[in-house]
Amino acid sequence: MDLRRVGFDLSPSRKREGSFFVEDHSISLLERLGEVEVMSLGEAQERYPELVERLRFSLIRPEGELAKFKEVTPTGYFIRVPAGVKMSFPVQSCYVVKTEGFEQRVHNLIIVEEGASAQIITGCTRGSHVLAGLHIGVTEIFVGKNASLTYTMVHEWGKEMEITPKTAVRVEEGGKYISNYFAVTEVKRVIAYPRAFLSRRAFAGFYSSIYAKGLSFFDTGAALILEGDGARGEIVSRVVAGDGSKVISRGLIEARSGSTRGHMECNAIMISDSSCVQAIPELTSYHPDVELSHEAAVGKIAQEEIEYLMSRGVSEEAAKSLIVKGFLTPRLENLTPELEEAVLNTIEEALRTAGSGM
Amino acid sequence: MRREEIVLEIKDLAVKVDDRLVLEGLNLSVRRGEVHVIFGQNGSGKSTLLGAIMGLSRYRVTEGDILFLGSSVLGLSIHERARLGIGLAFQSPRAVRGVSLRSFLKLVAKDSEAFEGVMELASEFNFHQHLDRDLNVGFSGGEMKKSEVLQLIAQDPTLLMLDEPESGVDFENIALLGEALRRFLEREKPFHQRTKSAILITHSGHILDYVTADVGHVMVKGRFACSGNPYDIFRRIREKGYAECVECYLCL
Repeated sequence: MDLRRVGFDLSPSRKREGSFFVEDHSISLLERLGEVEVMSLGEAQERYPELVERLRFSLIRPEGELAKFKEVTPTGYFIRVPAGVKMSFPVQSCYVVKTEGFEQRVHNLIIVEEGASAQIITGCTRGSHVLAGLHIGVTEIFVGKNASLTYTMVHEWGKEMEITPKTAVRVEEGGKYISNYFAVTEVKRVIAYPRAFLSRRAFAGFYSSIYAKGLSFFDTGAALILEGDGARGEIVSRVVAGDGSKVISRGLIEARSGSTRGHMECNAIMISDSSCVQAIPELTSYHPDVELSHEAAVGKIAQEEIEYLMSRGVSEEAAKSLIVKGFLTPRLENLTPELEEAVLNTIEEALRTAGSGM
Repeated sequence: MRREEIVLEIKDLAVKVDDRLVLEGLNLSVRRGEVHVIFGQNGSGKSTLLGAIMGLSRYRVTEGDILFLGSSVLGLSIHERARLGIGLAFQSPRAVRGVSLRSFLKLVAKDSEAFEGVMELASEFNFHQHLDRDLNVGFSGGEMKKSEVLQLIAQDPTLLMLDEPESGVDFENIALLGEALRRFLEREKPFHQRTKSAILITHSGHILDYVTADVGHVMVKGRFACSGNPYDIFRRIREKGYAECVECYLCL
């Protein structure tokens, strides 16, 4: 199991400000290398009890399957970037389900204080032989006034695993939140619908690339709640549905104030006769002075595109591979070159093993 | 390689697009080192001919044959034809996201020397800043044509087909493209030393100021109404329009 495939790298060449590595429910490694506070949620609860009590479950209700989280503090990280600190390198974290059938429950808190800028990379995966298991990750993120956070998540799972992350972000005035989600995998199901609540002039962008293999079921998307005037956001999803997978791609933009703008686009390529894609965009406005738009397109790889590349001497398989790879290559905003390379290598590897799927 | 060697031979070709017969009874011989120009009104079938030679799926050959270097290519896929030495600069090239022009040129170039040559040409074209952009994404008309010519030169085909290489291109850039094509097609060499052949489609004729042509044809409703000196043909078309060509066609 090469954790670099999900962006986690402990070699000296990976410059970082901290690391947090969890296997099943144990913290296997915790590094704090710079000004950024990186600790377990348990430790944060001891050090800053009022803060953690105030923030925990302030953005997400502890209902249903999350009720268990209230009783016992699960494993998870607490990352706080002090006001004004501009991180030079990312904090990286990695969650691995190491034991077959394990139910991993984690709760993370991220605070980026006023004027700070941060990068966090989270890789979620399983031990090489693990096929079944559960991962429920609650992540509550607070981006302060004029602060920025780029949060990148790379997923790779086992085909019987069920993954239901719950993520919510509050972006204060003038703040910026960018989320990159990348998954090339076969998995039983992934249900993820992060929500961002934007204050005045705040920005949030959710960018995802998903290549669903085997009998995967993905129900993913994002919701942008434009609460303050001048808030803006976008949701951009790219989906490749292969084999017998089913992908539902959702997007919601809700405008509650004026001068707000939101755009979402979902592009899906189906590369097999047995796959299914559903794009469900939703726009809601409570104010007339808004610009909200959406685009969704689902289809196969354009034959003209394949033939254009073939006319240069590229074989049909190589042309399709090039197109799918290019389609999935995400817009990696503010990303380190190392992670970009790791993500691109993961795509290459996945396409190489896709075989007759295309 | 002999000067008289026929590189491309088309015999009684009929081609359908959807269920419509677009080309009928088309015959053409292109020798090594020759540049052929095809004139004709929009919809006459010019692009269909080039597309059928390349093997694009929307053009179905229903009769006749296309022989390249003596062998029929009708059973070959597009990429096989490209590897044999046929290249096409598209009239409306496709945009391919996530693939940079630079990386694609590297993939297409037959060796590192060819790639270096194309990089130098990109500088001549003032195109180096486009190399790291996604292939044709957001390119203007002129930029698309530069991208096409760079790709074709990287590919280094024996038979180069250009579908309206100057449309949408300003004069300054037509000069740059024209010069590059002239060099690639070895037009400055004595005719028996030229190894590359080409078929060009043009409306404005500007490309002919740079790339000297050997044979001209006028396509009318899927057939060649006449063939001959390309400069004479073009002059008459400019003076009289296509009316005379249509008359010739009706006599056939």
